[in-house]
Amino acid sequence: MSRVLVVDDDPDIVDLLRLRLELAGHTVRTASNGELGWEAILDEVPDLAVLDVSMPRLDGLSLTRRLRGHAETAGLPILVLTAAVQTADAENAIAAGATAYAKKPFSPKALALRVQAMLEDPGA
Amino acid sequence: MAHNLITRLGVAAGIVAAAIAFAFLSIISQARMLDEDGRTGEVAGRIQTFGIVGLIGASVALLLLAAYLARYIVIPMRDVTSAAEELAGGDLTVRVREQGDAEPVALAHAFNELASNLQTEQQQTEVALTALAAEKRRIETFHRAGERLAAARDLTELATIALAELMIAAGADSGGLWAVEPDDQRELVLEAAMGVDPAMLPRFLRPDDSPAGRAITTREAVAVDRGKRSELHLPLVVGSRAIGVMSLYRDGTPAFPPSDRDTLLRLAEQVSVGLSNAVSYRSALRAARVNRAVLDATPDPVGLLGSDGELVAHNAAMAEIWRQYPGVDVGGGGGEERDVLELGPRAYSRYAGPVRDDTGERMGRLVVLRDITAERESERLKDEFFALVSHELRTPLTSIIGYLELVCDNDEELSADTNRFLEVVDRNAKRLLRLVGDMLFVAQVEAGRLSLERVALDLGQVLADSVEAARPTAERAGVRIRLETTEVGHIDGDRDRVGQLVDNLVSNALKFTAEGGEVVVAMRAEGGDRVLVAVGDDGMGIPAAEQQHLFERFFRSSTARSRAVPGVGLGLTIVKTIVEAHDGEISLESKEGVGTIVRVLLPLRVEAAA
Repeated sequence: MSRVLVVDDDPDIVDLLRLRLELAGHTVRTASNGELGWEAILDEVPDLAVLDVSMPRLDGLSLTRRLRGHAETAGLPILVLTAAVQTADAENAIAAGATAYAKKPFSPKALALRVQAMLEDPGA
Repeated sequence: MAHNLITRLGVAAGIVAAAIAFAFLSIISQARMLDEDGRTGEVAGRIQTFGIVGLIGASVALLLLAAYLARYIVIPMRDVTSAAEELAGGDLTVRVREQGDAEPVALAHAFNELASNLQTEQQQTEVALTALAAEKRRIETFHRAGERLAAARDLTELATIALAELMIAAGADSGGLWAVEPDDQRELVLEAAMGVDPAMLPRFLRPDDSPAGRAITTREAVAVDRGKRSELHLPLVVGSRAIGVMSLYRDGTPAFPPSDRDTLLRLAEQVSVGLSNAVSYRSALRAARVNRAVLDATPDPVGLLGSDGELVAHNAAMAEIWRQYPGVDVGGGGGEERDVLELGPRAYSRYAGPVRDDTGERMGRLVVLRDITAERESERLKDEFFALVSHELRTPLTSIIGYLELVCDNDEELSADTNRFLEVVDRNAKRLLRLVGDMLFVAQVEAGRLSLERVALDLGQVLADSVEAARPTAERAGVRIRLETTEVGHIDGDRDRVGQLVDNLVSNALKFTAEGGEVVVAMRAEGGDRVLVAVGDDGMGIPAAEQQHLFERFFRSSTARSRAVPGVGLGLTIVKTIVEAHDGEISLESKEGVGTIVRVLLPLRVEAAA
């Protein structure tokens, strides 16, 4: 039973992830952009964050960098979702401090397994 | 003088006569004294008679001598004397009669010779003086022409002056001058015309096709007498090169005399040097102007830097750079350099390298900048487009595919129809996703931005996944699909790309295989360091003529088109690109009505390097 924060500007994706992760037994909080995500984390630091790259106001990579610069969230497992096809985008995510990344479109089931694995071994 | 001579001769004759008369008078008086004595009367009488006769004889002799002197000596002498005076007065035509004694005749003859010689000499001197005056005029003409030619600013002015001088020297009424065109050695162009409407003269002249042309070819003056009009064509020659021709015209007679031609030719030769220089100068100016215009019209900044880094030469675009960024270092270091120079909001690709002249001597350092701001902008826009397409198309697909999975995983029992419908949605969503992926992939390759994320990849697993994913489609089409693999180890590959490669091959094979047919996906080691993947079918095959085009972008075979097989013609292009990006090889074998087999050879991963 872990607390997962999902931040994505597409409410369908947010719902999809929330449904899937709740099916897997997690408590899910959601936010629709980076700034709101940041506020949610300041309010309560989750066990893991799933962040979309492309979002208004504050994008996923900037939020990742901000979280890494913040003592409380420096070690937070972060899974970045990217819709880009270019390998460079994935590299950018890692460079920004993401623990792992997943490309859209993804299989919700596979993603839930991925989240589970990250929670069990934050180093992975 | 003549008078004096005669006077002196008269005085001398008088003294001699007086002396003789005195001598005879003495003899007579002595005889009388002797007679008075009476001692010698007879002898005295004889002596007295002798004295009287002697006195008369002496007087006669004296008169004869005087007559002789006047007739044979004094008169010829006087003639010569007065002639000499006239000669001295300048009349060289004066001559004297050769008369009198031998000596006066000789004197007169000598005088006449002298006068005659003097006259001849004077005539020669006059001829020489006339020639000298002509030479002086000619030299003055040369000098004047030279001064005016030296002051001329361009070829046209020079040609006009040269023509005017030659016309004056030749006494011509009108004339024209044609000079070579440096850019066109075959034709001469009219540079000057005087005394005639230039339109009446040919604008262009060709060597050899007219008297003027002949003058050019032969390098000699060509004179033409047309009755009412005379022409003289003078070649303008420098060294052995004809640089032009001058045509002089004169109405009516006389024609240009041959004696003038040498002078005119020399004059023409003199002006030729200046004209030749002007021709060369104009040609150089024109070349410089062309170079300048080309350089300035070149939108890319171009400059030549001297050894001290200062701009020696540059075009307008470089001047603009220099104006906007004074003192900016565009030259860089020593050798050839290619890099990007950022100047304010603009980006320039920069080439810098040494420049040598045709003798190999270093002239400086050439710098060529090319504004790549727009290219960068378009590259950025392309990136944005990629991102947009990726995001805007793939995000909805993520929802569709994700929710489908959620529905199917749900424990809820669905009706058979619902299941079938959901399958259709799922299949088409995946097809759409693949299509988007393919398009993006090709665009990425086009932009030269294909990047691979290579890992140790179990190719057998990739093949198995592909076949598994294709199985529903195969079943629906009534095509059997079979996997024949042996363990070969890993390849060094990008998981997504290799998956895309195999998916494409399998999907192609299925598309072109009729119901009841079979698709075989096989893998085995090849030569120890490579792996062979073969996807074969017993489908309709591809006409031989079309096989060479199969790997071309958007090419679709006639069978695909006639049977309405879905696709856009990117599958094999992508396959080939991925194979080559993995240092592999691909070949295709097909026979109409028999089937097709595609073979892909990929290098195995070198484990020691892993």
